[in-house]
Amino acid sequence: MKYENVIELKHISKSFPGIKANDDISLTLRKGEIHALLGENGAGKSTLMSILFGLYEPDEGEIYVNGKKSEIRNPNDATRLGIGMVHQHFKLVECYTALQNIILGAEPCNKLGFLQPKKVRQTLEDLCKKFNFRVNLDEKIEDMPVGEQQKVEILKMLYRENDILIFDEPTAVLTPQEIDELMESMRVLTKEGKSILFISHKLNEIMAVSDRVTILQRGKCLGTLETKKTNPQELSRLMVGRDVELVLQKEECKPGKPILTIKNLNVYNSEKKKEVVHNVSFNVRTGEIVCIAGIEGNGQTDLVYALTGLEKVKSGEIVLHNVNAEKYIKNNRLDKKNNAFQKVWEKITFGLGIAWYDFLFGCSFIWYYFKKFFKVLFNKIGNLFRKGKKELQMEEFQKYVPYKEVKNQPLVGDVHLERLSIRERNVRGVSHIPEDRHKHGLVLDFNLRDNLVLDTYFDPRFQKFGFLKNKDKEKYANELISKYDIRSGKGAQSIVRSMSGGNQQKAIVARELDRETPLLIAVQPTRGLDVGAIEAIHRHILRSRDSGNAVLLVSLELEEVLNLADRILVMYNGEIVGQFNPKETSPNELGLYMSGAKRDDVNAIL
Amino acid sequence: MNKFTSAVKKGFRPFAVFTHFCNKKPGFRSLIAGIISVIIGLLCGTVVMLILSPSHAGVGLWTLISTGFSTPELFGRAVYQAIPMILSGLAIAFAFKLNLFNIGVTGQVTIGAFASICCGLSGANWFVCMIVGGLCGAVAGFIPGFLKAKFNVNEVLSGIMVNWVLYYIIGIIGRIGIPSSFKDRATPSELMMIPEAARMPSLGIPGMTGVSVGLIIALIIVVIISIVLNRTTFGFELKMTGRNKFASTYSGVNQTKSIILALTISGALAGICGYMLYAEPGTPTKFVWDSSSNTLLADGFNGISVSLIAQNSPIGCIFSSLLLTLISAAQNSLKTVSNGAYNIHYTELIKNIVIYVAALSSFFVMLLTRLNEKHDGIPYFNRGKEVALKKEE
Repeated sequence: MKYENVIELKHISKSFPGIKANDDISLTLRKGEIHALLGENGAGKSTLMSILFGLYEPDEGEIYVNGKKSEIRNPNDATRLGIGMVHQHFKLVECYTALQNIILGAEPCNKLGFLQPKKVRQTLEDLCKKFNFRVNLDEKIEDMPVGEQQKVEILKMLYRENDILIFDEPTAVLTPQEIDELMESMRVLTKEGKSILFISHKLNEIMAVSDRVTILQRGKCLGTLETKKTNPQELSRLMVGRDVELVLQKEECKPGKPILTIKNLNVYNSEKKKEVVHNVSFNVRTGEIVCIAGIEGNGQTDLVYALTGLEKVKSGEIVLHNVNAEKYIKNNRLDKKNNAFQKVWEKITFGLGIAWYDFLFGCSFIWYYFKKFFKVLFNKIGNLFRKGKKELQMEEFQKYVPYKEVKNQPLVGDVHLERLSIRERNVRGVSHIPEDRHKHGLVLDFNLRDNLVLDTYFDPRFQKFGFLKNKDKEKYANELISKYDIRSGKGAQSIVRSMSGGNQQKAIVARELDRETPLLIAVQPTRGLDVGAIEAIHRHILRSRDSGNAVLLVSLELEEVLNLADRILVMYNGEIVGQFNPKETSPNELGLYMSGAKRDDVNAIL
Repeated sequence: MNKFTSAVKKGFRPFAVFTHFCNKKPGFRSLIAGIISVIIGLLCGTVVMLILSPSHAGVGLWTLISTGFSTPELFGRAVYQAIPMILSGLAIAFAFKLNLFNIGVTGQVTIGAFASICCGLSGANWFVCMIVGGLCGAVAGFIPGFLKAKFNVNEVLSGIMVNWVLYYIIGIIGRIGIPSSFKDRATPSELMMIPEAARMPSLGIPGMTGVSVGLIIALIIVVIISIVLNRTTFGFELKMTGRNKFASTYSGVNQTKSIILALTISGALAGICGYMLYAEPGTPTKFVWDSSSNTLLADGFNGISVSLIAQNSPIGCIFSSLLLTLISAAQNSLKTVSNGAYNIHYTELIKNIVIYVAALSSFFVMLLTRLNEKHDGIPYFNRGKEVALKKEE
């Protein structure tokens, strides 16, 4: 026999409450091959791999490892059999160094039980050299970029001498460069006799790296193909069950008046202790998708945080034009009823209101000068001790827009956003698909229904006098579930933690797109999604654009940028270095700007 | 697959119905987990009794279970002791929805009790006293809340500090601030008993004179709190902030407001609890204002175990506080039943072991959840139907 099967899965079935995740799946993994597992979000790929790794027990079916029937009850069994897994969300201790993380659970000890990390350092360095990994073993995980963290995970498996490696959507969190590096290391690994099972729904990666591919659809196995004998079209058809447009057909963009104008925006990041966005100015017009391209960590995240209010603006202006949020004016409901009582009441409150505002006005003056006085005072005192050193600049303080002028922005018309709270921005028409879905986007312990109204629960549709209308919420959730094809075990009642990553992302996208706000800020909206879902979301975004809304898209994937954008802005090192028309540019040109090799004069562009 | 699992697979119907029900209603699951943990707690207590004096263990177990229900007087006693406990447990549980541990409950109970008794002694009626107690508790709860929200001071730390500050402030006020007619003549370190008009009116159930209006008020508060938590936007915000702080920031929840309000409301509940501790209709206990003994009230801390056993569910607080008082009621008869084989130390030990194990109920919830998820692929009592359908095809 030419091939040796290292793993054979036979007739595996597994069901969860309300859903059959795996239905009679068989799969073989040969020695030294890269076997891709392809399927839609929630097709059961992760479940199958978790069964192989011992996180779940199968309801039916058998697992043969190296020709022997084995029962894998827990991850320790799997490790003993030489199976290792890199999870989509890494299982690393953030505040430990790479070395500590690698030896965790298999610590090298001397006879007295003291740690001997020096013993393994040499082995690890050899491994790094062999597989061409550049990992600093003494760096803490929290300081590492994501690609390097993944290398640590792989080293962890190699150190435990695992021969069968499972990668659960390894490329979902990586930048294009890191993906290339990963592909290269995977090839090297198989040359060394390791076998790799690789979950993905990015067709180009599968075509590039895998030897064979198995396709799952809604828990069922559709068969295994030789990668060389197939093509992306066929794979996507098998996976989704219909033909998918890989390149999007879209109408001509008809931009109108600007909706969002940003002028000289500066953002200071207090964690990194530096200014991460310098002098950024641009606008987004109605009926237009503006895309911000760039390599991760060049200030896009901070720019979006500043726009949505998660981070403070140091200086500059953010203006949202033609806001219409009348439904949130508190006494809107009362205005319509024009009875006698109402009039009297209004007169009383008006009088009181004037008195109150007089009072506030006085107070705000006193407070303003009080603060200013102390600032100057402390500054003077501080400068006394700084003789000879550089004096603190008073302009730093004057850059701030006086608080009084920008608070109480109207709900109708042009609005300055820079000092408003997140809720105030939300209400005026900014929706935001966040970058980190587990951190900002979802409350994992809530059910789907509550997550679908996470930032609209105060809307008059879902509450009355502060009491939630659970039935209306349920109805709305069911609408969204069918409209955006969110799959889960128990529908609106399923806990979001139990849903697959792609469907979690779909839920966020559904929530934000369905608000139909004039401005949508989407950061990596299709991260970790399959071809079918990406297509659907792109269509929804385009529909939103065509109906006259503005979209600001931040993406790391050039393919998506070129596919979707009407205008591309490239961001490098906190500044906008170029503006392009997607039809007249190429990935190579963008790449030059993204890496900082070339730049245009910003003021000339805008 | 072991024997148990395969037995289940073959269709042990009651179990199947049970798991299905558990999956549908998480509240039911918690209830079952609570009951299981109480039973195991009682068994652990029995084991201790077996070790101490095997011959009395059987009687002892029966006493533990039945004493509370044996006479209306004892049951009534257990109920009226449970009333303030419900509220202090609720105070802890409410703050815990926001992942805040309101250890300041003790101080809030103390100040609430002191203020309401003074109010009652100066002639107010019972309702006014209760409100005053609640308000004072709210103010005491506001302080750690404000510090937490504005300056991110750990609420446990500031809660403990506020406890002691209030304790000594009461000592100072007691010495210089209140008329001597408020103080007990025989022992001036105590306040006078709260006057008849300021005590909670008895419900007049025959045999249970101790059961007062307080029970109804406590139940109403429990219902209000659970409605606030489950049905209002405020409760939604609280739970969201408790579960994922970043997501609530993202959705624009005013966290400062949530934190301050949660701890203030929690303080108000504790303050009302303080009033109820010293205002039962029969002969209320006297409040010791003198701070020379350097010990805080234990009643506030009882709330922690109440809320733990109830897994922070407002409705669960009713049952868990009843459990605690019923078991304490058995303490005395345990001594007599065993002819003194279990003396006061042992009965304390047994009582606390039962409570300790009962507080592990969240562990049983986890266990049940795992068991249910394993066995509820398709509801097993529908399995027969499915097979039949397949055959028809």
